[in-house]
Order: sequence, then C-alpha cells, then structure tokens
Amino acid sequence: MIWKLTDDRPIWIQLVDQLTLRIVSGVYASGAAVPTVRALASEAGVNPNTMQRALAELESRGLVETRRTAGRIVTEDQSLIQSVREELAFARMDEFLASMRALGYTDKQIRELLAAWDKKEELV
Amino acid sequence: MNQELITARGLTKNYGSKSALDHIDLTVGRGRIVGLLGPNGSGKTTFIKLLCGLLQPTSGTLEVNGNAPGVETKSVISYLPDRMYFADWMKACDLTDFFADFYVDFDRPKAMEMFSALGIQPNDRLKTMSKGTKEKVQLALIMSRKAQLYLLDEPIGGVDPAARDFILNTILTNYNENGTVMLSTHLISDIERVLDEAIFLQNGKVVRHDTVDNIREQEGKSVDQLFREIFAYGS
Amino acid sequence: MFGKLCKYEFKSIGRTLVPIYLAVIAISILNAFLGMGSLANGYYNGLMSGLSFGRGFLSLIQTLSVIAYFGVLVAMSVLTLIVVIQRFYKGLLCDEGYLMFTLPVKPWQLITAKGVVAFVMSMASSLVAFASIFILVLGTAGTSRVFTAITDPQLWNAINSALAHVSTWPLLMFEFIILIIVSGLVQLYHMYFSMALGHLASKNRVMMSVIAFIAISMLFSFINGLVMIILGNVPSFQSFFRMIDTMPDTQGISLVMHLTFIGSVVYNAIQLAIFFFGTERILSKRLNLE
Repeated sequence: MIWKLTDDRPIWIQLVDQLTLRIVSGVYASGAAVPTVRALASEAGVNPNTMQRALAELESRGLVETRRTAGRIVTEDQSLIQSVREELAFARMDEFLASMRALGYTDKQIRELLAAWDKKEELV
Repeated sequence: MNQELITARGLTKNYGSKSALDHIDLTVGRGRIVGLLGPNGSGKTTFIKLLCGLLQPTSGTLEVNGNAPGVETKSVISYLPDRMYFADWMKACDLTDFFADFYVDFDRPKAMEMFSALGIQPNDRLKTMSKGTKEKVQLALIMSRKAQLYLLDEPIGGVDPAARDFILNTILTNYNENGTVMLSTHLISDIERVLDEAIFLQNGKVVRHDTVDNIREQEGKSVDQLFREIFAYGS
Repeated sequence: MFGKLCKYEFKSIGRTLVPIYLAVIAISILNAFLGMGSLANGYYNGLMSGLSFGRGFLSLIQTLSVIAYFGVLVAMSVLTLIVVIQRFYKGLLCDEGYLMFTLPVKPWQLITAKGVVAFVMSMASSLVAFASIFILVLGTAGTSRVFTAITDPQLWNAINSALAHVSTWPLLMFEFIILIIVSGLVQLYHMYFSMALGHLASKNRVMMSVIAFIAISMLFSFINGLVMIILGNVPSFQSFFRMIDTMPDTQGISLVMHLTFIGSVVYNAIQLAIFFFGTERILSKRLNLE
C-alpha cells in the first residue's frame, strides 16, 4: 500500500483515513503491533509529529491501544473493527449512490443495474 | 528548558542601506520541523546566519535556548550551510574526528553507519567524491549530532528527486526528537508534508507563521498553493 | 578547545610544509656530497681528472643541484608565507569560515590558534633553513673539522669572557627571545588585521586587504619616525644618552641593549595588541562571509 496524500486537506486527517483503511482491511492485523511513529513517518515521508497526531486520533477512536509492554497494537475488539469497516462501506455507498442519482437513476434502477452488473462484467 | 527554543524580537539586519531582515518577531518551540519559506532574497539565509552566529544583528534581539548567539548556542546548533565547508584534502575519518573533537553531542558510530550506507570508506578523500556525495556526507555529519536546533540552508536546492528523498528521509529518521529542525527552501511542494510549521518571509518580513495543518484547514489549500498566491506579485 | 584548534591547524599547515622541509634537507644532503660541498673540497677532483668522458656531465649535475638547492630554499620561504596567509584567508574568511565560525569557540581562540601555529611553523622553516646550511657546511668542510671548530676550547673561552663582561646576559638573551616572538607575531597579525579590514569591503576583498596592509605599514613607519624625532628632541633623553656615553664600555653597551630590546618589545607589543584586538573585533562583530 502506498501513502497517497493530497493538497486540499490537513495531512494528519488523511493519515488517519489511510491508517484506518489499513486496519479494517487487515494490513495491520487485529492484536498485532503497529510500526513505530518514526518508521511510519519515514515510510509516508511525513513529519513524525503529524503521524503521532494521526495515531493519537486512532487511539481516541479505540482502533489502536497502547500497551505498556508491547507498545502500540491494533485493537483486539473485532466488533469495533467491523463497525468501522461498515461505516466506511456505507460512506462509500453513499458516494456511489449520490453519483448514480446525479446520472438520473432512481434507487430502484440502481439496484437492478447492480444485479445485472456481474453478467455485464463477464461480457467484457 | 520551558522557554521557547528560538525567540526573535525586533530582529533587524541591514547590509549598508539595504535591509535584509526588518523587525522580525517570532518564536519557535521544541520538537518541531519548521520551514523557512520565501523567494530568493527574502532573508532566509540571513535569518539562519544570525541564528548560528555568522552574522550580528543590526538591532533587536535573538535568543536560542535563552542565550544570545555565542559559544553556548553554537554547541547546540547543527548547521548545514548552502555550500561545502570542509577543506577537500580531508578524509571521511578526518571529518568525523573533527566533529567528535568539537561537538560533545556528536554520535560517531551513527555517522560511520550513514557513511557506509552511502558506500563511503573512512579513508576516502573528499576530493575524490562527486558534488552530490559531498553534500550527503555533510548532511550525514550534521544529522549525527544530537542537537537542539538543526539549521539547514537550502538542503534540497538543485538536487535530483532521488537525492531529495534521501535528504528528507535522512532528516526525518535522524533528527533528535526533542530538537527542532528549521530548513529554508523555495521548493515547498517537495517538503510540505514533513513540516509542522511554515514561516513565510517576504522582503525581510514575516508575512505568515502558522502550522501546516492550520493553513490547510483554514485555506483549504496546500502551503505550496498559498505560497504561490502570496508571492505571485512583487517578488 | 584551543588545543584542538591548534591540532587541526598544525595538520592542515603541516600537510604543505613538511614535504618541503624534507625536500630542503634531502637536497642539502645531496649538495653536501655532490654539489657545492664537493666543488669546494675538491673531493671528486681526483676522480674527475681521471675521467675523460662524463666529466662535463658530473659538473652539470653539480651545477643543477646547486640551483635546485637555492630554488628549494626560496620556495620554502615563499611557501611558508603563502600558506600562512592562505590558512587565515581561506580557513576563516572563505567557505571554511562557515565551519570554523559555527564551532563552539570564541573568535579570539580561532585567531590565536592561527597566529600561534603560523608562528611555530615560521620558526620551523627558519630552523630547517639553518639546518640545511649546517649540513652544507658539514659536507664542505668535513665533519671532523666542523666538530673540532665548534668544540675548540678557545672559542668557548672567548665567549665566556665576553659574557663575563656583560653580567646581565641571561636577561639580555631572554629579552631577545621575547623580542623575536613578539616581532614575529606582529608580522603575522599585521597580515591578519589587513585581511580582516579587507573583509569589511563588500567586494574586491583581496585588493582591499593588500591596500590595508600597505596603509598600515606606512602609518607605523610614520609613527616610528615621529617617535624617533620626538625622543631625539626631548632634553631629558638627550642628557640620558650623554650619560650612557660616559659610562664604562660594556656597561653602557649592555644598558643600551637592554633599553633597545625592552623598548622594541613594548613598541611591538602595542602594535600586536592593536592588530589582534582589531582583528578580533572585526571578526566578532562585522563578520560577513560571502
């Protein structure tokens, strides 16, 4: 996974998004250690303070925890990871639906289109 | 140790009748990476030279760690000028000896490690190295100190993207976390994501000093874009 | 810190001068046995008269080695001067200045280290020159003759009796050594101060340094002359000199020598102080590396 940072939003918020993505997609497995701030910062080419801020945000959301002995780990709370994952999925769906509506489709038509889409893909 | 790392009040530097810095007031804290941004001739190098004691202010005060520039501040500042400052007959090991002799915060094993990562042997002479390698050697020495303040004057000016990445990575992975890094540049897009704060200099005045996050949040654009807008005219 | 500064100064100056020292010694040894020495003591004359072929060749070598000897000797003194100037100019006022003036040391330590090391190396150059002449004398006159000459009891008796007349000779020697040191340092700091003054200019700094050097020289020779004229015209000094004239021989001479040495030391020390503090102030307050 590469770190993609854009110009329009604060970097730390973008880092939060990308770290969350890595956690829900299992790149950083539940219960496993998160790389150090320095390592992450250097990998992403960002300021360690910014990375620290992003990790602190994840900590306050409960996605990562600081263990006295093991350092920083990804939460073992599977249900939390699942719910965040769903939240993200819903957000993606919202975006998708919004763009489809902009094309003039009704929700019903969108569902039909999605059902038919698998076959379409095979045709291509 | 609670006071700010850098405090400038009414700092002014004139060269003859020309004013290079005009009543600068600013403070910079510890553990920050700060960009000193501005077009050529905006006073970046003058400010850095004042901080490391290579110039004396015309008026106003400047303090690092609560001390005016002098022996105490020089022992906690690690300075990378925009040029080679070693005699070229010296060998890589002469350079580490030199730094180890004069700077108590110098970490020789760290420097040797960085040298070997660059493929440099202790007995290699500077004379035989390419310009790019010499610059990397100098950076490795500077970053091998556990300094309070790293002053890097145009560290990425005129280097190719690979060298730029090496330089930024070296800075990020090696600086002392309780220390502050201040680097001057006019190539902002390249370094924006490593900065905590940006100081915009124009004609010797600070026109903006804020955190990069604040700038992005308030302006909805990158520091680089803001820079282009501020300096679009009259620079 | 001062010691470390000196260490690096010796290292960078020695790099250039030590090879030249070795060359001077090597060529004087060569000359002692092949060139001037053999020309004078005729060591090879017998050999050469027996030669019909190669005789011209041998004398050519002798001539060449004589030329090489003087060449190297001149090169050594010129190079010493150049290196001393360069170590200050390039080492403090050009790119290397960025390194030296950001070290955690005071400017006066930098300036003192330069001066002390330059002085020691100038002395070393003079010593090497003397040593080379001595080697040449050894080669020319033969070791045994030189040895008997310098161990000749008559010579030492003469020296002893001369010294006995001047009871204060250890003090005189001491004053003389101090004078050599102070006046040597004055020469060095005269150059340093000129370069510091030249550094104040925004451009043509080398030329401005040369002009400053000449201006300072003229100023001090003017002051020198002025002091002489004033001293010569002050009545109390005139009567003092008349008093010395009437003193018994050696007593008068030794008093004059003491006065000359001490006067010169004081005069040189004043100059040295002006040059040193002038340089220190400029490099502390007005430093502006390009």
